[in-house]
Amino acid sequence: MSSPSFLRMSLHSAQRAYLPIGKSVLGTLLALAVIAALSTIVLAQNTPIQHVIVVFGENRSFDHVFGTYVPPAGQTVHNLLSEGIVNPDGTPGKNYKKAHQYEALDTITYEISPTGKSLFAYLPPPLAGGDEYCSDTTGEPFCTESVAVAAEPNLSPAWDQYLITGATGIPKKNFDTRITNDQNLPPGPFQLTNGTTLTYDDYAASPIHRFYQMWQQTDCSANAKGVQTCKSDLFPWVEVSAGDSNGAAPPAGFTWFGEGSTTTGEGATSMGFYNVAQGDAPYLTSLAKQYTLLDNMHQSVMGGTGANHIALGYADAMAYTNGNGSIATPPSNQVENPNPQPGTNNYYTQDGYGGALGGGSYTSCAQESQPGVKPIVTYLGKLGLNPNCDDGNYYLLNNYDPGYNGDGTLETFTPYTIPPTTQRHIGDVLGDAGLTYTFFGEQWNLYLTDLALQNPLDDYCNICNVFQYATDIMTNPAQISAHIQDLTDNPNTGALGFFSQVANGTLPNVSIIQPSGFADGHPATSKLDLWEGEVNNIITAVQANPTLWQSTAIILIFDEGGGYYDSGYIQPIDYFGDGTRMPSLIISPYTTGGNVYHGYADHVSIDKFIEANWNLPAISFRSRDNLPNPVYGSDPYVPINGPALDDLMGAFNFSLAKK
Amino acid sequence: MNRRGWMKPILFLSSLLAFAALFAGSTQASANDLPSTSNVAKLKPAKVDGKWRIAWDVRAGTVKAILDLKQHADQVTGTFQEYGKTYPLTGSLQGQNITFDVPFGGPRPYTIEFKGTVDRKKKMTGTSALKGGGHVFLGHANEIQEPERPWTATKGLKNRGPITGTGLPGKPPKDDDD
Repeated sequence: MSSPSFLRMSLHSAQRAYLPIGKSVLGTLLALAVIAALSTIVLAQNTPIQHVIVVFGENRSFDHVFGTYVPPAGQTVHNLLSEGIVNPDGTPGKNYKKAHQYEALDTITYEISPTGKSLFAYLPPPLAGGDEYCSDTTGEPFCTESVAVAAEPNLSPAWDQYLITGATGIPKKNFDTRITNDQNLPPGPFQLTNGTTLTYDDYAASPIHRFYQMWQQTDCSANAKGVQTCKSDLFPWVEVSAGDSNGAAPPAGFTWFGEGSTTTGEGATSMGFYNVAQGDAPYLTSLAKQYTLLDNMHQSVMGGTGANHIALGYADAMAYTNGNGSIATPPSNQVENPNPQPGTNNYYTQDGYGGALGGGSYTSCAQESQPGVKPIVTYLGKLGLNPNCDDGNYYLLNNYDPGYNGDGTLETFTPYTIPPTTQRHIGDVLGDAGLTYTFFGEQWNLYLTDLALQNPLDDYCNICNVFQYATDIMTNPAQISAHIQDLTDNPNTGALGFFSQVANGTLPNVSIIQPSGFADGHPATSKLDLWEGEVNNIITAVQANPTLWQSTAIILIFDEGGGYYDSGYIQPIDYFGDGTRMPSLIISPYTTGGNVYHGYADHVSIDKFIEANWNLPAISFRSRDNLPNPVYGSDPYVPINGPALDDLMGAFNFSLAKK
Repeated sequence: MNRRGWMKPILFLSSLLAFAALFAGSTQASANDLPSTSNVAKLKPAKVDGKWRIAWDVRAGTVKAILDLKQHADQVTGTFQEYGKTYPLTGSLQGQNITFDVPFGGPRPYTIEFKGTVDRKKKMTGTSALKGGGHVFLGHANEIQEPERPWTATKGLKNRGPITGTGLPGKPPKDDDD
């Protein structure tokens, strides 16, 4: 190990060493001074990490996956079990009321912390989602394993069997009677699985996960003294009330407690959790016990997929432009409006759904008169926080397609895109330093033959590709080829995919992997065990190249919590988030031991890690990677110098010898 | 003529009328079983022969393509042309209703079944779905939409104005959550 690594270790050791004296203002100031002094030294150093591989999963919150995780001796974790919210068997614990869920009243204008709350007597029954039957023509699940493997070839073989199992047997939107006691659930988290009628391998519904909805679900407020609280007690209420009709009136007979087309189709899906103490998520659990689990990693932006991937790529939100870098105003029907429709309780006007085929997703958050803006800005103002919304900018909050097709032509299939952007991204920072980077999107090769995504079997995720938004990449075929590839080789061009590059030792410095929709673990359209299978294949491949393994950090992360409940602290950073915690693990020779790392982090922390590792500048003057590393007081989860984001360096122990 | 004497012609006439009524009823019943003049017109295949501009909603938005239809009574063959590629199609007509399948090639071949109706204004509208049904990946942007995707076609190629699918501004589609 080089001396610079030791220096970096010293920095983070210093941070940790001062945790016990966090209550002392003097001690905290001293810690800051030490950190500041060391930072000037350490910034010029490197670690043994020459390759960072970020592997995305989709739509799972921390408690949804690791809610009953018990760490190795000497480690602590914040989850449903440790908080006493549930027992190891998944039943309500002594502190169950900490996760109680309420209905509320919001009938005039959008509120992030509405009044008129009353405890649900029982949860709205969760409804079924995912495919009812298997199909070899369409998959998920397939009926025949050989057909399945041909369509999804990137799982480790032991997981292939799960491509043909797990159909729900229940029509979508019907009561999910596979869930124990489904129509009489207590008003808090419930175990999704029971080992018989609903197993870990079964498909299940996906909760709502959109920007304004999640602000409301987390129910954040601040008092006059600037004390902030996020109660996270409105998850099912928003789920059953907000609607998704983009301006249309609620269906006749609209109800929160029923099933079918007169509901939002979800019920209280958001409150379901897996039970790792009973064997769910076995591979992720084994990784947690062998490597390092992060229990304070958050989605950067309230809401869904697109904006959170953008957060990783740009460390910022993305604004609407004329396509040439000048700020512009989007058409009025592309602006979100979470105000309740007249005569309804919280049934949104423009709900953020719709994507390529309609629905508003932009907000001009510098204008308090815009729908939805004032409550959030007011909340941030009480905390003395800058919303970080520039005048005239309309920021993308949810999912719109990138402005470019995969071949670099303009995306004209829909007006519901984010126009081509000249906004600076992490690739620019890496490229300026002579470092290499590639986005590996599974099924990219297929997508290049199907730019309109008209093939229903094409599960490539275009909105996940952070470089597909960028003009400097997409207007140059050489740049596209250099920075966007598939997991597998391209049979038409001969370009090497991720697995070949791993085997050849030609992997770039930074790799971002987005599994296809088959294997990304997204509820309803995928399963968490399929993601485990792809993750296993990736880790196995890297470890099979010992030289590469010794210089690599694999960061497992999700795009967002998927709208599932989480009991963790949420730090207010700016208008866009943070949001709920997500599962995250760092797999590396330098993160062994089953540690649980509590440093407050979000997607941008990965940018910060990259920048710290290679001594790189922040992406832009306003991007979140400018935020300082956290300093903690008595609570190891809550930065006292917020807004602050961890650079993840403290999760590593570079003194670990080669193994 | 006694009473019995004039009764016979009346009975004969009644029988004749009854038979006539029965015949008439029988004729009407047959008319219900067989197409009337107007019903025959409804089942007569609509004329679709020729070229059409089609706008088809897919995951990324709206695809614009050209249909070149060859009609043989109630059977349809032809091509579906998009992005410089041409795919064969086969289908049928039943009155104003049209159904045709387009087998798209490529690394993962698939067949889309288009169903729709032909109206008198040289326009067709309908929905499309993956042949075989079942799950269709809708993408994170459209994950709440059902897999049936709308399409619209207008006859002829002279009008080069925009052919709008439901995805264009001002016409946001109605979403169905899952």
